[in-house]
Amino acid sequence: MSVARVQIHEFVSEAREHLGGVADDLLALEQRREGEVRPRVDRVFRAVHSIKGGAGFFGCKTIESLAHAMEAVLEHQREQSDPPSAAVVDALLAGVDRLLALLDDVERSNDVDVSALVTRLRGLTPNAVLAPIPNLTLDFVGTALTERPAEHLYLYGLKIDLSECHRRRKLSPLDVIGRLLDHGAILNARLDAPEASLDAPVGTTGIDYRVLFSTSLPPERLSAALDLPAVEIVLLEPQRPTAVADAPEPSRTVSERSESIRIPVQLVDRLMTLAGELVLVRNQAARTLGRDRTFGPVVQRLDAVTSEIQDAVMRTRMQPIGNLFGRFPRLVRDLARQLGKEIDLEASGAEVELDKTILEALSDPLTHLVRNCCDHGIETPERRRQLGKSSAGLISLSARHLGGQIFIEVRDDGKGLDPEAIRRKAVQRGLRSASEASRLGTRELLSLILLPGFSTAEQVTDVSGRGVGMDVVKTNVDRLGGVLEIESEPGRGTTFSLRLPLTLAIIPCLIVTAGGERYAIPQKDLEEFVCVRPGQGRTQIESAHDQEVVRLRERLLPLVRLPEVLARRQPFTVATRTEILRKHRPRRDSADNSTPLIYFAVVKAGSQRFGLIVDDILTTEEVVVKPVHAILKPLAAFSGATILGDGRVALILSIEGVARHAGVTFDVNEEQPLIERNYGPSAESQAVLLFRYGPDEQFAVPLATIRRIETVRMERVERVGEQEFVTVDGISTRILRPDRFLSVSACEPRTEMFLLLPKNPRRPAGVLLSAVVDTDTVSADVTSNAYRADGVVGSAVVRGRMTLFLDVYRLLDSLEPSVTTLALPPPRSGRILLVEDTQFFRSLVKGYLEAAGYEVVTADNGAEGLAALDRGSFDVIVTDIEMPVLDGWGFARGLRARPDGSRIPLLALTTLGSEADRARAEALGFDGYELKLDRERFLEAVAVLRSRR
Amino acid sequence: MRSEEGGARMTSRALAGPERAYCTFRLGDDLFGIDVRHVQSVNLLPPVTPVPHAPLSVSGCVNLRGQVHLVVDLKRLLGAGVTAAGPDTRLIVLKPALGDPFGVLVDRLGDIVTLRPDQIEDRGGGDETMADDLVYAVGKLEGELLVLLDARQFLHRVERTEAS
Repeated sequence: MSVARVQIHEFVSEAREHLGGVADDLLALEQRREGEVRPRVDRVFRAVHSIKGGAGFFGCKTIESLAHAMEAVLEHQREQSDPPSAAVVDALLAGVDRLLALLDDVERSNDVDVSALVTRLRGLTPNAVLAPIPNLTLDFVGTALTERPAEHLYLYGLKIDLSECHRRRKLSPLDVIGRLLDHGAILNARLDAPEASLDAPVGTTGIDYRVLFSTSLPPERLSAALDLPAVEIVLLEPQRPTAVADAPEPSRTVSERSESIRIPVQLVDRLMTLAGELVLVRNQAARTLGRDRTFGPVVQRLDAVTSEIQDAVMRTRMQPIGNLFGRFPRLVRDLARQLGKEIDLEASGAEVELDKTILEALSDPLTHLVRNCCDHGIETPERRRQLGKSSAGLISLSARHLGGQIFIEVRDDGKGLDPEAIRRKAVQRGLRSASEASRLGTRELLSLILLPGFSTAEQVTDVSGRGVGMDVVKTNVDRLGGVLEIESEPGRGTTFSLRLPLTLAIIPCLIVTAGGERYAIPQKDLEEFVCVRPGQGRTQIESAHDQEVVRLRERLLPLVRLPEVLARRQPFTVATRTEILRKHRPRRDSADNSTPLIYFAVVKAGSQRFGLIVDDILTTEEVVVKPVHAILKPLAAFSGATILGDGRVALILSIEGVARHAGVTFDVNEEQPLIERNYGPSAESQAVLLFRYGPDEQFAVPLATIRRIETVRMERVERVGEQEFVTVDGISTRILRPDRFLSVSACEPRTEMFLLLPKNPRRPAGVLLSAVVDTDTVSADVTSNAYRADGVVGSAVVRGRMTLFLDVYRLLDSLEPSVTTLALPPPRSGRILLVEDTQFFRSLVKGYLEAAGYEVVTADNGAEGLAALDRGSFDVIVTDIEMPVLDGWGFARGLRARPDGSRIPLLALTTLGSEADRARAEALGFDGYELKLDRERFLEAVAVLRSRR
Repeated sequence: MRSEEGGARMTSRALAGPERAYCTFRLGDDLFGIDVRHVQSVNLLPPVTPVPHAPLSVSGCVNLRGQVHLVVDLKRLLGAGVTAAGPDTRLIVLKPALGDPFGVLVDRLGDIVTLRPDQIEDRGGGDETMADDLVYAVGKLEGELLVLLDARQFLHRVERTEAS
């Protein structure tokens, strides 16, 4: 289950719980029991409020708006001393019922029209309704209210004085109408001009334009949005038993789709599990009875039926991707308007079905891609016209089946991606060294925008904006076992293509053994299976520094020994790898036929590829993926568990996790043989500088990468801790001694040495050397098997001496935190107290904070929060406002009253967005105020407060 | 309910009802019990698949009726050695309310024992040792003491031992 799905599930069940209590409270209120009115109203308010918050967070607009309307009624009730009237309770109960119905199918809740109920609730809150203007009569009897769009929750009567509009703002009637249409729909209109005015000069008498107007704007925002000088607004009561009144939703749905029934997802999931079980039974039967003369045919029949059942059950979970595509027209329209662009959207393949789980998990990445196209791909209409394109940009969505996979494309005809700009950016961001970046092909360059840290939210340039969140998209797609590719032609457009499996639950796997246990390797991670006898033919297991490699069809493939990975709990270090290397080093004296066969699977994790050595290979099998126990989730090496034909559990390997555990490092452009990689495909001759450091080795560096050689007087070298610096050209330059980073011989102390300064380093630094030998042109026939470490390309014999070829940039990189760490947000530290009553927000926010490196202590309400203060100290406190027992205000007061509490930064994280609330927070000594929930903003706010501490 | 004479301090758990049933079992020679309401079923031990890199107190995973269950070595969790599976070894599977499917290994199953509150002595919680989470009271049986374990703490404890 995806995180989002788990959370929405949590939200739904929590909301249901809340509502159960609410209904009881409302009923009690109706019976007007003495003395308990206020607490009950409070409780109902809090419940509805947290539902609103959750719904808002998950984008359940309909639930949010209904809860909001209910909340407003309750807010009003809180100020009353009398118990609510029967009409109020009635309306609230109707609200509860409707909320429950919406929660039953929360996915489609946004398609449901609740406007009538919302209007009814609004009628009960005097402060929300503008007082009716008596002399404004709007009798649009018979207007078809059904015609208004579902999102138009509000119905208004407007009286606009057109002559005033013209006189005061030079707005023509057409301007006025245009402005109205910008914000809603004109359902009916009437123009009232006094007869006399026809003769009078324009602008002296009023011309009344009366409009029945529907919009999604609430009363408090309508007048500002219209910004018309002379307008009277009336929020209309619903005309109750019209077409939009409370027609029961389910019955309508049923009658519209008489051929479908609704089944709870849990039941489908259960069926899915059972079908999975059946597959296992079939496998078992096939194994034990398949060859039996009597049972054989029966087993075959069982096999066929099982396959069909599995297929059919799988299909019950399938949903057309049109469900997802359906939301984009609106998104694109809104974005286009917001950005001042013209964008058309076309979609094809809406009928293509895929697994519900995948569909749900696709929603975010697809939305992000479409957004990205609108935002950064499509140019402004002016720009497009200049370029000779049609002024409206086009975004096309398409989906199709191909070979058991789904292909989804998001394409725009906008400005495309500029590979050169990406190259510069990647170097500037430190994701690739300049020399590496210069060797990347277009496709590899484009894929760089998927790296975390390629771009940040600052959006300085066109290209930078293009990378925002793309790493998240990639992660989501990876998690689904999919592949994301980018193609782009500058000036012509960009295409994002996604390739996804149809379903997740049953996957074909290769079953292997390691250390006496069986493990499943998903077929999707597998390229081929190789069995070699080392020492025979050309197949050799060689060692490159601490890494075992094998030559497979002229390409070097790193090797990982699965039994060693499984036997070692800690992720590998250089020491671990060296130890493994030593353990498996072939003995020279042993005869060839005594060396055992070695089996390895060539596997890939993302763009990485390596050989995974196993003890044996058993079979391929379709396995049903079972979730692993929560306690085992942190284990990176496994993605799940399954039950094999003999009824035993086997673990499914996560190739990516295994690679991480073993510390295999790869480059993006793995397609090229490792030997040639560092100096490009032209393996011809090149000019190098030969130099020495210690007595034992000779080094070579390509001349092309050297800026100059500087003489360094050693007495002028300054030491800062372990690091050495010398001033070159007025800049403090870091000194890199080869023996500190490579296992090469040390250099005798001397008074004068040389510093090799590379071109365009990321930071001022240079490599120290004792003597320059010469420059020479050598053939790049550098072998990599003799010596390989970060910064060493390979070795060759030059002028009769063993010479190590260095990659200076790599070497310099090793002075700094590794690239991947750089890309991640800097690790934070600190202890944070999180006070939040809603369980799912609590776990969500806690997760955010923990991922950012904080230690988090949680409390369920203000009182518990204060109690937690007694048990420990905190660097920052984050609190919700609306909470039972003791709310955020009370908590703040309690905190600030404590002798130690006044200095701890306090951040409010709430759904209460009004200015009054903010002001109140400030008055109570909150140091920050964040709305639920923008992860980046929130973490930023916490970091700022933390640093203040 | 009020605490009765005899001076025994009642735990809040013991106060919740007059009598309570405990599922008892042995780890080595010692007798332990957990609240029977936390027990889902008692099973023969199916073949266990070890999970590399898992916390040390996790023996592995087993298949019980198509569901993958985590197997926790209770002895190891209590720091009392490692369970060696024998013919009497049983897997006590706990209720789903306690977390994802899991069971604990015991050397031998005992009887279901019913204890009155006055037969239970709270351990008092004076020292802050880890065992406090697990062992919350001692039941006084005739001729033997029954160490009462809080099954709800099992999984937390597995996680904590891993963290440390």
